[in-house]
Amino acid sequence: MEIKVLKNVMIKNSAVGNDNRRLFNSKGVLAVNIVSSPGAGKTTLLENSLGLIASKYKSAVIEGDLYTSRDAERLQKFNIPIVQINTEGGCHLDARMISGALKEFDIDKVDVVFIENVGNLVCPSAFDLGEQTRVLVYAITEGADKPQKYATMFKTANVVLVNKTDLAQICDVDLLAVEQEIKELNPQALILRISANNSNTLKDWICWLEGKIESSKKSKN
Amino acid sequence: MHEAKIAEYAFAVISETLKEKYPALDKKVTKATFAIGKPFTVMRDSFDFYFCELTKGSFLEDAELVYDYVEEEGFFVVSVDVET
Repeated sequence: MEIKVLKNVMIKNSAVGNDNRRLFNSKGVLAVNIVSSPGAGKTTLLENSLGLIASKYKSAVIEGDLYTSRDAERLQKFNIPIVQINTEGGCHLDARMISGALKEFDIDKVDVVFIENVGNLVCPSAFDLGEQTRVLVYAITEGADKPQKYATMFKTANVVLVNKTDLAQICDVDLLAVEQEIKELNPQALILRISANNSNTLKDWICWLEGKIESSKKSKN
Repeated sequence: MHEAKIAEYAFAVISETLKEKYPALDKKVTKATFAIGKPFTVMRDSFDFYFCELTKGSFLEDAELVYDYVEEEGFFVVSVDVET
């Protein structure tokens, strides 16, 4: 006997993701899901961004890694809440992990929660964590062919930070061509060039980020 | 590897659906039909592997797994065939 089910199994994740988003919205907290391949510069971006916004905003970080707490240790100098999630081989964070991590600190005392996802350009794209914005760090040292190869990740990002641009010449990467390719995949995405280890290149990113944090605070419901 | 998590979700969705009809989950499922949506990145072989491992010893063990492809975003359990 055939029984019709007709259910999208991803509702199992998105239901919890929506709960997380409602919590963020109700507290006026911006949640930023940072995704990239391994070594693209997520933690370096966080290290420099946290320092640049520290005088204005209170941050918390949820660190996703397969193993070790090395990234979390790099951020301890900021004396902010940091929750380490080790997926023990799992290739992405999911909404339930974030829901659990949010119980580990007082969300009423922060303005922005950064979620550093597991380094992977495939799997994290399928899992809504409840973030309001998804930021993709794309290092040009990975090769100029990555946007088309990993199209889903580029299509689902709100912001694409093209990182390590100081190495573009050495890597023989045409930045304009790369940006055009990203635009064709995702016309709505904000694309910014950065070198995450150089704070001077982060001005536009920080300006955008601060605007988003202010918007979240104002739209608290 | 995200197929492992999606296999868990699919198992849960099927279990919940069948529990409504057979609370004891004592009916064997002989076939499960799934639909892989775009632009979702699910590899059938990988999903097969995780789903079969996950359902060993359960009412879903040895069920035939059938796949279709659809335009909608997501991964769907379309139907299950239950022994009568």
